[in-house]
Amino acid sequence: MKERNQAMSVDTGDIQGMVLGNIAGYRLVRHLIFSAPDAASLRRFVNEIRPLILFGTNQPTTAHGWVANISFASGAMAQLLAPETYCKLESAFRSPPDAERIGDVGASGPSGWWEGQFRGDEVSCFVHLHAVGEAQLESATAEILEEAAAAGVREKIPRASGGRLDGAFLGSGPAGKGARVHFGYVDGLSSSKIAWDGAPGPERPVDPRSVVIGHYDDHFPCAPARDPAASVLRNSSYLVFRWIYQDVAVFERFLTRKAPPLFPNLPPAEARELLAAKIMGRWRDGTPLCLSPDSPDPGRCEEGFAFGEDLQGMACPVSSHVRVMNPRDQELSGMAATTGVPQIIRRGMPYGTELNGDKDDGVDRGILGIFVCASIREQFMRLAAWGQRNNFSDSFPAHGRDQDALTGNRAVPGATRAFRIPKGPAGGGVATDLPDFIRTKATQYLLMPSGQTLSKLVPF
Amino acid sequence: MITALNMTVPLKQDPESQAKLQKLKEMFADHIQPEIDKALRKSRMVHFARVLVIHDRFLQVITEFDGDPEEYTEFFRRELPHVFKPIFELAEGAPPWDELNDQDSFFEASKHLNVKALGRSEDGREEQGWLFTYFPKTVREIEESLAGSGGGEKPAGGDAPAAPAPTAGGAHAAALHAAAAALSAAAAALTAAAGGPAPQE
Repeated sequence: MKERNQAMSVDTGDIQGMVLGNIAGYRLVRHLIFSAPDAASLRRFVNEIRPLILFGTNQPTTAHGWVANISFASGAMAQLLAPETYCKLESAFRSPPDAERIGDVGASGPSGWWEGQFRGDEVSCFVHLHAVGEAQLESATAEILEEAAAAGVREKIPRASGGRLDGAFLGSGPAGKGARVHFGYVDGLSSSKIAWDGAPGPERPVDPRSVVIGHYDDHFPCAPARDPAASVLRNSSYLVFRWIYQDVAVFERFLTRKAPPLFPNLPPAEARELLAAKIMGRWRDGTPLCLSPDSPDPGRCEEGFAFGEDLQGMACPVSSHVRVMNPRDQELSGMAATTGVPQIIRRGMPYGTELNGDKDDGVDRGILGIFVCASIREQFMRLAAWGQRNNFSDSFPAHGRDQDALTGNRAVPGATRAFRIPKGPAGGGVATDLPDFIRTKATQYLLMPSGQTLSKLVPF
Repeated sequence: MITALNMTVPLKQDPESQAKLQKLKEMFADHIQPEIDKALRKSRMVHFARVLVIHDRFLQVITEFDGDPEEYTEFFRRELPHVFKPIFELAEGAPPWDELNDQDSFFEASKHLNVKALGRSEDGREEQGWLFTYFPKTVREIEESLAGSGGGEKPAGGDAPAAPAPTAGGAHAAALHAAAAALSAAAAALTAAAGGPAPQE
């Protein structure tokens, strides 16, 4: 196998703010979805809003309390690129999402996506707006919609009720500073800082080649792999947008029903919290189970951790969410040992009001997930597949049909619906009849262009 | 979930390519087979594999494995580029290896060459077609079953002593191999019935 080439530095001024993470201070998000009838309309629209787009060194609207980023769907890229360049984009991007592979089957299947309002192939682009408050968000929306109307580009409305996709952090602060997701876990704690200077290390562990394309390496595959197409797309990123419903009522009732018999040595309330921690791999306050298996320790939330000393999952079950999505130093087996652990950057935000209690109130709530990567197939799809079939390490049962305890789709053929918790002083065992805690309401593959790419797609 | 790969490569018919094909056939057993064997063993996910050349017009790589085609394809591209390079250089219509040797291009080329089996997938994967599996267990499950049978049996061709008398697990393995043999015989019979000679390799 080829040796890994040394990472290279990437000019962050060329990269959109959402990829860089320069949106952390904004509590609100709105994803505007557009369809352009032709390339000329799309170019007119992009040309008008280009000065508003947030790049690393260009922050045109931050003084107004909002920022904008833009991404394109496959159909738009086909309109904007020369055919010989378009055909070099990753084939997974150019195709509809492989729903079976990523576990979007049954109630999560494509036939129900976008609440039936439109199909993914009707989408041209997204404008992602982040704002500090409602007034700023409405102001930004009005400005973008005005330009869209002038260019002849139509907005697509994803909700049958006529609503847009709006998200907001829950809790008192931005991600990692007290903000939570609907299941009650603190969000934004994973160490996903990117080493844009080309020197990954403990503080910034993510190699930029797993985030932006145009720098092909066998250990960080991406498409286009070669010039001249690679040079056109250099420093752009693939985005996977997922609208995911989270069934909080089912989740809370599952904890109530299953925790006491699993942990008979604990009071029911403590047993519930321990089961919630086992499912995620972190306590709801963010404390990693590996560092503090018996109780939360808020002071350790942002510490790094590993699984090498916990091969059997005594502290953190092997099918817990954080462990499946990033097995860290856990030994991989079979083919996964060669292909390695994919890294992916998350830029999601919750949507919908919080549920109090465990009775379903019929409100749509969940997460507007954005996954940034250099290869949809090698990063996003592989992780999604691992979540549906835990078969990448000898730590799992040999049948490989256990799933991510939190995000597995139990309708995947052969799924065990069992969550194995090795027995410890507090108890343990197998939590059976795992329900679906989430449901996919849409999956859309997008490309977020770098500055140089945008100038080639839509010349000034 | 067992997946079948039926990669069928149309071969160039010019004299130079055909000469290279003959060379490949001659060196397969001693030079290529051990390399593939080593990678398959490392994967611990492949049940069966064979390579066939049909009338010097097609080369087939046929395998049954656990898991996803995407991961499988990339694993072998990374592990065996020196095997796939000469194969794809013989393929009619294939781009030069230098243009194929990246994750996405290789996956697309392999997918394009994979022939869907007749019939309907029993687990809903439309692109697969029908795959009969008498014993739907993963390679790891079979390994564990064999180890648990008390025989301490290791995979065929490994450094284990000769297989012990069939036990519960051994009988399963024997059944699998018998099934494979029966399939090969059936394939030969079908070929003969179609009026052609049996596959050469």
